[in-house]
Amino acid sequence: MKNEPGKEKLTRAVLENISALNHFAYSLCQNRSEAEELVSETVMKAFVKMNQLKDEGKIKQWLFRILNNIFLSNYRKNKNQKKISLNGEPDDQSFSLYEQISSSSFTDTAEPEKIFINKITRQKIQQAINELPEEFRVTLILCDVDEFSYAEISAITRTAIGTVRSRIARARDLLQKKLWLYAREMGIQAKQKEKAHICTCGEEELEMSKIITV
Amino acid sequence: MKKKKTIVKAIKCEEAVARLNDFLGNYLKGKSREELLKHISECNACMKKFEFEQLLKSKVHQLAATGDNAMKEKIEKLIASL
Repeated sequence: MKNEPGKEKLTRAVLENISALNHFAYSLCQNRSEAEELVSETVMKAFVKMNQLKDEGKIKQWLFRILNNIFLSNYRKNKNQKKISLNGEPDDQSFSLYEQISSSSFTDTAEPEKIFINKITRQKIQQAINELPEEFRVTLILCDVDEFSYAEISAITRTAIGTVRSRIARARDLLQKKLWLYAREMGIQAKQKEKAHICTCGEEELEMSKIITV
Repeated sequence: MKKKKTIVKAIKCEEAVARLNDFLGNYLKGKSREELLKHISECNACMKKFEFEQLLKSKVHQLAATGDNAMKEKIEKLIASL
């Protein structure tokens, strides 16, 4: 290949983002050797299509988009989406891990949620993310791990921004449900009929007055 | 000339929580963001919840891979061969 001016920039961008690309590829394939193969293919394709890159400021986003496209066309074996096992948890979207943990009966501490944050391991979080259905897993990783904006995620995954927003919300919800299972394994038990969110801006007092008048 | 006062609308906890994901994704801008920040600064319960969500997000962010030298070397060789 000729030593074109863009080649140097592309080489630098690839090497700077190689770990992120590899992690993203692994999140998609969930297999180390396939992920490495996918990254290699992405790099080769990027150099072949280098002239099609219009905005050099978007190299990272462009590389992720190529990787995602190759995955969708060549690597995705099972088009049926993986369903998360929630072990009987109700499938509502308003699940809040914070509410569950902060109202739990975990040790004598006043802030069990902080204990949970300190105790939950990187492996457990990765495991919980790996179990998310593909479209939610991909969107969450692009947003929270690689810190792409909604607009960038929309371009990488070729989905509408509204879809990106709803997938992120759903992904966080499912992730928190999964993490709640790990929290219970740690010994955190939910307390019944106790609300963690004691509102200090007026709503709670209103609820209390209703109860008193009844 | 008098400075124009900006009045930030008060929102309830329910509305604040509904804006949580857009806030964490840095998608919340302008008035919506100001209203949310005002609410959090005045509501201890929401402040605690938002702190937890941000801590959890930062734990997820820590999954970002760092320094994979073997892969880097492999790709350097690949690029050199192109």
